[in-house]
Amino acid sequence: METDMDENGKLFRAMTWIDDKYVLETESEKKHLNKKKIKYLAMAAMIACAILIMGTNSDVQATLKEVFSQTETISFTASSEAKLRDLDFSRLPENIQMKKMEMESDDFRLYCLNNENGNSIWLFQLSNYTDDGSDQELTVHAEGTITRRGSEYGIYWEIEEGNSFSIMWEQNGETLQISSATSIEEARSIYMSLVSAAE
Amino acid sequence: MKHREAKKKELQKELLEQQMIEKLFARSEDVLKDMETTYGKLCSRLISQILNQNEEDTRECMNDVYLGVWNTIPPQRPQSLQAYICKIARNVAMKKLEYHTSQKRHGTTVSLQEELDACLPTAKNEYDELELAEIMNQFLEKLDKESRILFVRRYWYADSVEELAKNFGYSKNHISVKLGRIRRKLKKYLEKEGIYV
Repeated sequence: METDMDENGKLFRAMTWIDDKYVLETESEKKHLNKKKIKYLAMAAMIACAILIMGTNSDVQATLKEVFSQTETISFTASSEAKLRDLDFSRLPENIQMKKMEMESDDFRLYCLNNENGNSIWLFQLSNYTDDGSDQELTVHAEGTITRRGSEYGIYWEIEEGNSFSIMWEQNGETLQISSATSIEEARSIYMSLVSAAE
Repeated sequence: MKHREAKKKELQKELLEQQMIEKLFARSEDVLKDMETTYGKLCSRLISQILNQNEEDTRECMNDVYLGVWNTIPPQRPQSLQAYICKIARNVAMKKLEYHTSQKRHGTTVSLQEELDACLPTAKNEYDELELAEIMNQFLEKLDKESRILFVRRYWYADSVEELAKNFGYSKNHISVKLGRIRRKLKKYLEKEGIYV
């Protein structure tokens, strides 16, 4: 290999010597990407944001109401006793792996899963409890595509990367909003401050 | 079932590679035909992409590729013959391209080079190719799998945006936007790693 190189195209030439595994991975995956893309269209985001609402909690009855094609409003009757339960991920498909689960409090959990492309899928699990047991409303609005998914793991919303979206809900009288401009860390921080304030 | 089939194919491939490496060590010329059958299409496509579909140059380079493998194995004993032969093919193609570039015969690969050059904080730096490749390995490891494959297909295999759009099932615009984002990440990464000077 020449080391006394012309500077032009240096990085492109250096690419030749990247690790074998990347060369092989790329070649072996090439034929399958299209199929995976179709299957995981909504999941293929680097930060796919998902909301998971108490899908497995029998204490909560959620009533779904579609307002507009690209806006989802979910109303449900809160139970002051409602606490989050661990979601059952024991039957996840082979290609989806649980990466981590953070139990921040009884009413908020953050899950991170990896799909087979190695992309992260974030799930927020929110308790709907309120101090007075009144109804709560959660509105998900996106200028792009929202895909509502129902599965044995619960009901959640996937928002494609690049789409502008905002999610608003009331928690103990305070309004929480997460938008496409909010990073996961910021979202977590905002939520934790609300949870702490409510305690 | 599919997983088992894939595993079986993988094992067959490994076995075939081992046989070819043994033939190279035994100086058996049969191996040239084996390589042509197994990797000919893959390598000629790679070379052709880099050399902007120049068939004559591609044929010429393929001969250099087989000669390169023949001359270096032994003593080399690569873990993956496929990756080894592909790297030789890319290197041979790059040298041919450099010749064309010096002769002012520019092509689309030059614009690929320029795209990556723009990620380097300065045009002049003291890192050699191997050091840069190691930094690229670290960067690739941090990418999600889809982005990594997209990046490698574009800047290693020199796939066109049209081909990428077809294979990934996205629009051409979407692919361009994604590639732009990855390049920006790369630029930041290189800056963070102190690739200045």
